[in-house]
Amino acid sequence: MVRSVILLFGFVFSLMCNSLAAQTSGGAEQWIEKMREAATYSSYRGTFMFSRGDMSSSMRVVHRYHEGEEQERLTQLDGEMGEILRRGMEVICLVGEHDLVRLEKGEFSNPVSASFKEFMPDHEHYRVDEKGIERVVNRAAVKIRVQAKDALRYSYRLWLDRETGLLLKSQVLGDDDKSLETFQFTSLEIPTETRPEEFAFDMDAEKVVMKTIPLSQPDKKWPSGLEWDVAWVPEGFKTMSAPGNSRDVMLYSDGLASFSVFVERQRDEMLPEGASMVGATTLYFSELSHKDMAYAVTVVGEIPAMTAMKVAKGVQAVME
Amino acid sequence: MDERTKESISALMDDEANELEIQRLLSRADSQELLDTWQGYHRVRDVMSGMRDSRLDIDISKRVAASIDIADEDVSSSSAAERADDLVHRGAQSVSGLDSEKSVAPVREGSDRKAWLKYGGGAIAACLMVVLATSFQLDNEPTVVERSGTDEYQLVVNRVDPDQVSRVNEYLLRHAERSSVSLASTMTPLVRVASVNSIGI
Repeated sequence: MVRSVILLFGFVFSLMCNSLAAQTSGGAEQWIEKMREAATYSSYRGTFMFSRGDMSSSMRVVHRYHEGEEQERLTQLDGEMGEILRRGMEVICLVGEHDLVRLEKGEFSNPVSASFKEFMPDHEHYRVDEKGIERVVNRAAVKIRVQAKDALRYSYRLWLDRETGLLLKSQVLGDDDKSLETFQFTSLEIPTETRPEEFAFDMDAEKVVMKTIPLSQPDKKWPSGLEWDVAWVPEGFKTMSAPGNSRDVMLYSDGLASFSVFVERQRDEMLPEGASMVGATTLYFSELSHKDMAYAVTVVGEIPAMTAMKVAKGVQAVME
Repeated sequence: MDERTKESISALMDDEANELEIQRLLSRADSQELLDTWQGYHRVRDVMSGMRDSRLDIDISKRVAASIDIADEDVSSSSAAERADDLVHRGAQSVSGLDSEKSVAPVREGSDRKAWLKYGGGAIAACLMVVLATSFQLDNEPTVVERSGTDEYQLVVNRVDPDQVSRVNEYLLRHAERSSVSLASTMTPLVRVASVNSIGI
């Protein structure tokens, strides 16, 4: 009799576990896809902490998808005032009260590769696993481990809102699982109603000082027909550059991490040869000579310094 | 700094200083040399107890020369001293602020080295020298990346100067805009830019 009760209990318990597993698994890959969609199409408002190395800062964010365009506004809550406004592909930074900084617009995205399906982390280079449910910003979150299979890229931990898929917390992991960068919401409203004025800077137009940063700074003395090729790219990274686009600025992504390669003219204020690391972001500066002309190669991205260095050293000139 | 003062500092750190030693240190409280030594001893203690300081000021040449007596002892046989000498040759410099930003440069191992760094003095100073060099090595172990012919590239940790921050920010912003269309969380690249010291462009 007792044995029967135990067996029955065990059977019922296993049914309960399977049911719970069915509710929470949907597959780690499906959660990644859900995360991407939530990041783009959700309307939300909140504050979060962002830590890199031993620096941390708190920010406020409001985000929406409006008339086919993603819009978001980041406001720094620590230190000097600073805001970033993004509308589609346009990014504007507000520095202080009157200075606006904008990047030069450029068509760099490959429309084919812009679909989400192209950007699933490649299983050949990452192992994606669910690691259970945890509580983040007072919400149930699915914990996902994205483990890099080689030393050419970082690993990640992601906590996704179980209800919406929105990223609530993330960590970029370096050696020995040391967190290089942590992002975590401390308050969140999702979904939420947003107002148009939340996506515009409230400034006196007459006092605005606008500065534009070029995408790159090529040298007019460069030979015509000169282009640049990145001879070595870590496996799994694909080019994001649109065909026919300027070849002195290149972007690569493996679905999770990305890096940009800039080839420019030498400037007096160039950074010294070598890598600089700001949290999980590596910037590698290198000089390149081609036919008695000097060029500057800069690799920027969320990749290890070794990887960035190999990419920079592999840049070579290609004549049409 | 005389040995008696150094021993007083050490005693104070161990909570074993007597009234006379405390008075001696207080009378020199405005001495930069004393403050530097106090800070250095705390870092030694932290490293030895496993609490590695991620903001280690890499200015070994100045700090060692200021805090120890130079002796004629040749320590070329010491691997730790060789490493310290190598680091001194590379001109590691202390930089205030931007503690979490590091610069790593490839260094050709076949380059000339300066004269041996010599050290001597009391046991505490020697310990400081070895531990500083070792901790720097542990935190910044040169790594062979690529071998080409007889050349060998290694990575060395330096620091980004404060006046380079705006240039760094510029590249971060450029990369952020370009990468935001490809990443799962499109906000993250911009968050990285915003976090760098009030944008600073």
